[in-house]
Amino acid sequence: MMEQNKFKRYDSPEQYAEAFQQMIDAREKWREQVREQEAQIAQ
Amino acid sequence: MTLSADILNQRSPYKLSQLGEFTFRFVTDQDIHYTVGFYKDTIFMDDGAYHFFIDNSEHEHGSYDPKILDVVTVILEEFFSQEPTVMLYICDSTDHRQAARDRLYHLWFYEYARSHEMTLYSDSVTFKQVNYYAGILMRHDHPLHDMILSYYQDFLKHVPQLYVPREK
Repeated sequence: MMEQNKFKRYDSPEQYAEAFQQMIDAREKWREQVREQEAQIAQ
Repeated sequence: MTLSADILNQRSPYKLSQLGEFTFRFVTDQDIHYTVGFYKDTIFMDDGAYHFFIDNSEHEHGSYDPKILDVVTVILEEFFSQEPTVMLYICDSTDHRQAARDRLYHLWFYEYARSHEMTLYSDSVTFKQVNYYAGILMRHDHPLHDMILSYYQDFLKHVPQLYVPREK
């Protein structure tokens, strides 16, 4: 089952919740980084 | 995956400037500045999945501009023309317009995309008392299509304490 190894495995509701929170946090972090890049360009 | 502004600008109605490896900016006719692109996923899959985002830093809502959807189409067509890739998204909920954003993905999918070649699945997820819309896009011929879709649906079902299936 090599294909199944491509997916992150989470074993509990808490781990799934933490993973989704990480997705939301990653999006916000990425947005901040992009805005910083934009601000640098604008200067 | 490689995304180049030089290649995208051959078809994009707005001139794209490359901010990062998969990130671009453009300015609309209404002088609204957008950033658009992808960042690599490390939470759902080990490899081959990217989160899509489009953002305007001033949160301005100009009048309807079809060129923005044309820009998105050019970028996504290039994205999906390369090796088998998976696109993920979570709609921004900070201004409570996440449902409208999810509808835009569906509008784009059915009006602009080669939807007969692709799968779009999205669902609403109530997580920590906030309603999110999360989705996945991939080509039908992705070698792991069925497995990825099944894992993604399973992932979303396990996330919230309160799971609210999307109304069809």
